[in-house]
Parts: sequence; C-alpha cells; structure tokens
Amino acid sequence: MKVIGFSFGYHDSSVAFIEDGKIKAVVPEERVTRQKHDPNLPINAFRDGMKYLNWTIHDVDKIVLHEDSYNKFSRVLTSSLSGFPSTRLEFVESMKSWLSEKLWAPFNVSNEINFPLEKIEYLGHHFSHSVQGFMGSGFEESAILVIDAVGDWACSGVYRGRWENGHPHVECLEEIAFPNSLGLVYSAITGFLGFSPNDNECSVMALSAFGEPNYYKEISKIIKIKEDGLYEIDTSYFHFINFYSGAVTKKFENIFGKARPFNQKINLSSFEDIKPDSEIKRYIDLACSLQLRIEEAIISLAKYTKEKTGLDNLCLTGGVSLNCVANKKLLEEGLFKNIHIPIEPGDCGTSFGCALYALGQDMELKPEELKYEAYLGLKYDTEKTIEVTEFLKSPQFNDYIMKTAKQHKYELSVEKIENLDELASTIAENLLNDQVIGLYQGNSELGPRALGNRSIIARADKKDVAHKLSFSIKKRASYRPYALSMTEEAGEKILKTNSSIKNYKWMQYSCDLKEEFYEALKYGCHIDKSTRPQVVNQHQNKLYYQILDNMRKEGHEAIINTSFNPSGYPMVEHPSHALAMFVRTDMDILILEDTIIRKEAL
Amino acid sequence: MKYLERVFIFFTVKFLWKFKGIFHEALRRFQAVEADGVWHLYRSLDQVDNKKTRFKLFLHLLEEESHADAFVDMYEELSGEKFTKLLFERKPIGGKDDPLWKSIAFVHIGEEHATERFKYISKFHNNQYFKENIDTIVEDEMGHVDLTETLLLEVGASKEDIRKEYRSISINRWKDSFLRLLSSLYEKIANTLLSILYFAFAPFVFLQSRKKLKNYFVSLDANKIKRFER
Ligand SMILES: [Fe+2]
Ligand SMILES: [Fe+2]
Ligand SMILES: [Fe+2]
Repeated sequence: MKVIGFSFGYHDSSVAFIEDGKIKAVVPEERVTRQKHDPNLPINAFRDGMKYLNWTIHDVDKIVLHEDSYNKFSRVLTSSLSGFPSTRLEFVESMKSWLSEKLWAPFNVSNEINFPLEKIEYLGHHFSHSVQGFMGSGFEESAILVIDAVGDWACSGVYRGRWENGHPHVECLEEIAFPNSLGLVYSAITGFLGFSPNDNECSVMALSAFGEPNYYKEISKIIKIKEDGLYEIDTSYFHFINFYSGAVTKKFENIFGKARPFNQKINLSSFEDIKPDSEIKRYIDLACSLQLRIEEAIISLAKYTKEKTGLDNLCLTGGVSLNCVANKKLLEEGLFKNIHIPIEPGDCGTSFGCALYALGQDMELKPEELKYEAYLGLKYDTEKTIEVTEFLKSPQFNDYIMKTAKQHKYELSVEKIENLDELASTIAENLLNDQVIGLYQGNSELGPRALGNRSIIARADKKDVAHKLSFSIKKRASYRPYALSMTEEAGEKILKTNSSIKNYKWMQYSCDLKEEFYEALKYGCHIDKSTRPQVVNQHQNKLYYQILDNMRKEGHEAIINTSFNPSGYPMVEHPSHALAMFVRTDMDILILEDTIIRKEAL
Repeated sequence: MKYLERVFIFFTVKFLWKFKGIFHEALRRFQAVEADGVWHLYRSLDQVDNKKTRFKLFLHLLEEESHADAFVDMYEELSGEKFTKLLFERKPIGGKDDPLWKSIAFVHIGEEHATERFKYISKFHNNQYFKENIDTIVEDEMGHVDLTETLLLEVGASKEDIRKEYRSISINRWKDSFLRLLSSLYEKIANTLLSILYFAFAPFVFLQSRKKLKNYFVSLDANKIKRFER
C-alpha cells in the first residue's frame, strides 16, 4: 500500500511517501524551492519525490493531510472576531487568505495532483503532531506530549498511544486551547529581542546562556504554573489576537523596556568571556529568564503527563521540543525511562506521522519495524555538478570570484577516491590541516539539524578555524555555538550524562562536556561548556563515522558540525546548491560523494 | 511600449517611492524575483547535457544569487528593519515537456526587462548608495542579456523559433501585468467588502467569541481520521 502525507499552510511544508509501513522519503518543500520555511502547497516536493521513487499517482492508495482546515478556520475566525473593534486588519487579511485558498486545501490538493477527493483523509493539527511522535518511536505503548505554538485550537496536548493487533491507537487525554501557548510566548519574545519569530528561536536559547534570571519573577507572572502542573499564560502581555500591532503590548514594554532593534550589535562570543553592556544585559537576562521558565513549564507538563498516563515511555513533539536545552533538563529529570523525539518534531514532520498512522488503520504494522534513521530525504547524482568544476577557472569565473564573491583568486582541483577508508582518512587529514569542509553525501537528512550528509565540518580546537567558519562561511553571530559530532565510543568518554548515549544521535539534547575535554573542543561548545552532540555509529552513517574515528585516533574526540546552508537559506539539497555555496564563500574543500574538490590559491 | 514603461518608472521612483513603505516593499519584491530566477536556473542545470553550457548557467545563477543577497542588504540598510522574505510559489516555466530553450527564452526576456528597469531606476533615484548597488546589478544584467542570447543558439533553437517565442512571451508578460493589476484591484474591493462585513457582523458575535477563547481546554474532539465525501 502506498500512502502520501502532506503538511502545509503555515510554515515548513513537506510531503511524505510511505509504502507498506516503510518511510520511503520525506521531502520538505523548502529544500526543493530554496525558500526557508516555505509554507506553500508542496507541489515541487511532491513532483520530485514521485520522480525519485518512480511512483505514478495511480499507484497511490490514499493521501493524508496533517490538518483539518475547517477546524482551524473556526479558530482563526473566532480569534479575529473576538478582538472587535481593533482587529479589522487581522480579520480582513486572514479571511482573504482563508476564503480564497486555505479553507479549500483538500480540494486544492485533489485538483493540483489529480487525485480523487474521496481518497483524501485528514487529521487535526495536534493529532498529527501526536501521531508524528508515536509512529516510529518503536514503543508498544507510550505517553505523548505535544508542545507547540498553535494548530487548530490546541497549543499543547497530552495523549496516549498504544498498539492493538498491529494497529496504532492514539487517544487524546487533554488539549490546552489557544491562546494559552508556550510556543507563542517564546516566539513573541524572540521578536521582541530583534530576531525573526518562527525562525530564530535558537538565537534566544543561545543568548540565554549568557544571562542571569533577573526577570524570573516577572516572567513567572506571564507563564503561570498551576497547582495541577498545567500552565496558564497571561495574554495581556502579548498581541496574540491583534498581531498586526506587534508582538508585545505596552504592558510588556513597561516591564522589560523597548524592543531590541534587529541590527543592534551583540558583542558576545560562545567561547570567550566578554562582559555585555547594560543594554544587551537586559536582553540576555530576559532570554535567560524566559528559557528557565519555559523549562519549568515543560517539566511540569511532563510530570502531569506521567501522572495522567502512568507510563514509562514518552514521545515529545511539537515545535517547542526543538529546544535542546529544555530537553536536556527533561532527560536529567528522569521522569520517563525512554524519551523519543521524532527527527522533525515541527510541522514539517507531521506529514510522515499522519500518513503512517492512517496506513496503520488499513494494514497490520509492527512498531519495531517503523523505526527510521535521519536520512529520509532525496539523493541526487553528483556527476553533472562535478563536470561544471572543469570550467571554474575561466577568466569569467575569476572575474566573478574577485568582484562579486570578493575572494582571492583560486583554481579548483578535483580528485575522486572510491575507497571509503581512503576517502575518510583523506578528509580527516584535511581537517587536521585546518581546512573547513563541506560534506555532501547520500540522502539528505530530515529536520533542522545537519547530521553528516549536508554538513560543514571543522576541527574544534582552533580559534582561527572557528572564526573563518563564522565570519567568512556561515556569516553567523558569534554568540551562537556550534555543535559537536563524535563516535559513540568518544561520546561515552567525553559526555557528562547518565542517560543512554543513543539519545544523542539526532542533536536533540544539549549535554555538558566532562571538564577535562572542554579546552580541546572549546569551539564546538557554548559558554556554559555544554554542546549539542551528535553521536554516530557505523550503521547510521558509514563515511561520517569513519571520519570521526580517524579524527579520534589523532586525538580529536569530536569535530564541529554545522548545517550546510548559506545564511538565510535552507540546507543545501542538490549538489549544485553545495557547489554554489562552496564557491561563494571561503570554504576550503567540498566533498561531493566520493569526489574531493579543493581550492588552490593562485 | 518602452517609452510608456519609462514614464511609469519615473512616476514610481519620483512619487510612489516617496512613501517609504512602498519603496521597501519594492525592494522585497526585487529580492524575491531575483531568487525566483535563481531557482529556475538551478532547476535547468540537470536538463542540460553540454557541460560548457551548464557551466554558463551556473555562473549566471551565482550572479543572480548575489543580486538577491544584495537586495537583502539594501533593504536592511535603507529601511532599518530586518528583512523578511516574500515567499513565492515556485512554478516551473511552461509545460513539463517544453524544450529547455523555451525557458531560456523566457529568462532572456526577463533579463532585458530587468536591465531596462534597473537602468532607469538608477537614473531617477537620488540615493547614492542605492544607485551604486543598482548600477553593479545593471552591469551583470547586461551580461545576462548577451549570455542568454548565445545560450539559446547553443541549445539548438532556430532563429525563427526564438523570434516567435519572444513575441508570445512578451504578450504573456503584458497579460500577466494586466492580471496583476486586476488582482490588486480585486484585493482593494475585497478589503472594502470584508471591512464592511467585519463592522456589520463582529459587534454581534465578539462577546461570544471572547467567551469561547476563555475555555482552557479544547472541547471539540479533532482526534480522529476524517475523510471527504463528495
Ligand atoms: Fe504545529
Ligand atoms: Fe539579477
Ligand atoms: Fe540577470
């Protein structure tokens, strides 16, 4: 049986292709269109996935949508009416997009891809999140906690999932309604701190490590934790309903001051102790207080979930579960024996969850067999891209790199190394020679983290290497830390954790480094000596494991791993995207499968 | 037609862009158009067998990507606001069986228009920083006009085909502009009607809506699989 899942409409659209309980591919629209967080109907992802898998639309048994558009419409309408008389703009703008397009989502899908409407099924937004957590967790039975911004009506929810005769059953125990949303609070304050909401939340999390919780009391009045363990938001601090009036209200500004202009410099570094000026101090203390309170709210919700279900397994999902610092606290709390966070807990990942769940109603599945690895994206032929490099030495090209890309003149050399061991040791050698390397191989990884197939890697013990990476390649703020990749063996040795090392395979938890290893890996850590580790074994990623193992033998227990994407763009998908970033930045080496492309200075 | 367009650009730059919001929105749109062009060029790469031609397309897309990024910088510099992208629906040019040269012809016409438009924008604008940036882009765009012209012949299109295609693209572009104008008109009408609806309807239901938002738990059960019936 072939089932396709769609998620789209707000941000991060995607299409999932499932066959007989196996995830064949999940394709985020943003990777194909090069538009970060692309919310559009993922028609390009759909076409590319179908072509890759060699499917025709007649092969497909059903299509499952991640959202109930009528239900969501009723929330949007209710919310825009409730603010009368100051929500005219919200009403007009939202009705325009809903009545002309969003409300008819299933019809649009049906028309666009020529698929019978009666074979289209749909789930509620948070139900999609809950099954996205449960399906593929490998658990026979599990508690499920969804913490999100907002879907249709719900903002968070507690569910229970179990298997019965090969069929999955997820039931809702409690859903907290809009506008009580932890995700919306975090996003609104992200906006207040001068970052893009729904995108730069990780910057707020990064900043929180520099601050002190001096606003804890004030934030606790905004995010209240009730006696039963659930939370409540004082929405008078935010414009959740009149969002055209800005993220926060006057009341919020009276306490926390004016919002940070986006271009105000933050002179902090993830590896140097720099004293912030008083203005910046105010912002980082707010970030710190917010982060602390969010962690408390999440742990309190998890306790509530534990009490409500009495189960030992937890599936955690929804956009807020991308907060790896909060996840660390939850793991340390030890409330659950096992925690599963899906590879893509945000909206992008709901497509495969809802498709798997709907399939499970029609055919018998085994939970253990649904477990998946991270590399669920598409794979591309690199030959045609590599051929282009032959010409990247023409006068025209040199003109471009000097004038537009503003780099020194260079020529490219290309070497093919088919033997995997040899390739891995050559890459490791180059890392030891301070080279920053773009590593492009195999199917792309799903989710926001690069896990060795679309990664930029570098040694983690040299300041100038980290500087080059930040300023001439990634163009990223110095207060944002990089992450570390290591083998499982190295992970056992250098990570300060009581939980299983396997938890760290997808960079979902931050973790402290044992003190004695910090200096040698400093540039892959944050100011508080924590890192967001990726722990790799042979079976997950052969080449990457081998590179890490080679580095380990040379005394480097881990290396920096950051996502392969130019600032403002999604991760590279096609090899030509990788080549373009390589020539437009100071990256030293590009690996396209088994081919090494080097820049030789002229 | 060209003269008319120049008058239009003059009017836009000298009068409409005095309203900062309109000017900044135009910059966002320019960024989105450049990025859309980059996407089409990326998609065309795998369709090209000749590697030299592929290289030319690649170099072309590198320059267009630089333009897209330049508009981000211009926007942030001139507006003092953080840039947020306009997210276009990405649509392949023409049908899926159309030969590659048709897309290149489409790009060529786009390049000609961009060159003309940016040349006059720079001429009529007063801000030195903005002019300098636009002039750099115009220089590249002029190169693209020549490049796409030679590419067309390289991928095997005949001169007669190209001439016909140019005509139909130009007509389509005018049609598109007209439709865009219509849709902005339609939007204005929709805004007015919806505003009227809001003031006529909301006073009677807003209290009920507020009450509904007071519910702490979700009462409606959306937790099942539903199916469409025709
Ligand atoms: Fe969501
Ligand atoms: Fe351009
Ligand atoms: Fe151009």
